[in-house]
Amino acid sequence: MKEGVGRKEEIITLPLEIFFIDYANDFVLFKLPSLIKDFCLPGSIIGNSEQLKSGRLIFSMPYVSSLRTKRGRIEILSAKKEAPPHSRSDIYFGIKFCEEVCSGESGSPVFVRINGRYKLIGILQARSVRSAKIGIAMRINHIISVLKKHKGIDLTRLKKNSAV
Amino acid sequence: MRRTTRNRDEINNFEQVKKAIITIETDFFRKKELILLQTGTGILLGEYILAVAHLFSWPVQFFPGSYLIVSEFEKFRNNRGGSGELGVPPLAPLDTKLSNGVRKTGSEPKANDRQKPKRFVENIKRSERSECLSERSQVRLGEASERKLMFCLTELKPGQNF
Repeated sequence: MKEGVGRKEEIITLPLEIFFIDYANDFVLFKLPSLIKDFCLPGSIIGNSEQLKSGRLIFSMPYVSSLRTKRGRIEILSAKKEAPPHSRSDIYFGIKFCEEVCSGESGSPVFVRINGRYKLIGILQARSVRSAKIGIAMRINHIISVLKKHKGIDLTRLKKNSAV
Repeated sequence: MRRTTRNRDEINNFEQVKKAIITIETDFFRKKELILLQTGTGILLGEYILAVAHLFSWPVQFFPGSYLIVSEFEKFRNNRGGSGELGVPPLAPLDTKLSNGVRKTGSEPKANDRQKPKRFVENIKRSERSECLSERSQVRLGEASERKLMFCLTELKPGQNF
């Protein structure tokens, strides 16, 4: 990081290797570049998205230029209208945020707080046609099952560098 | 607005989460010029990064170049055992930008830069693309590309993927 007036922040850009693409559900898994493997990065604790209830307080953390924390509540348990074509609607759920969902926020983790710990229950994927404040997220359980089936990867058993 | 104590606690807790969240940028090349198609957030899960592909928004074949933008790089380094030693070869940044998101390098946008994203896609031949990809490391993202990205994003309507 460069010192001085304005505190310019250095940003490192690394090409990513695609490990798996799910065409039906529109998500991608990249392999973490080997150059940064030695760094101590925390892994997210995987939650159970099947236990979602309407009205539950959730947090999303988009990283658009800088980190932001957004609060919202689960409003739609099955986002039928917003589901992409050729995709099952029951794997999506809707969240009503306090503020609008913006470009670049796709892929943001969606957390619930259980016993003081944040658990990943989905990834933000799109904005609802009904309101710009409603985000559509994919359930993490579905992603886990797809990766287990096609690649034999169990996300819940991946090594965690440190707890979140 | 004054933050409550509860909010402050949550933000402190999130500081740890912050390191697991990264930015993904997807682009393709057209005549040796890097064109950004989308940005997104990725989630670090073990040795993998989970992100949204947006294959419905953009043709699959134009998903060749995705980049990991590590903007908390110094924090990653300091987190490693506290020694500050990298233990890896020095990284040569392909692109740098200031903390406000404005990139350092760039040229003035040309008059024909503001085309619809779909037309970019149509205009690119496979041979051109592969030629350009081989020169990836030499390409720096310019202001023109930034503007194109903003144009691409503003073209999207509510309800579409972003």
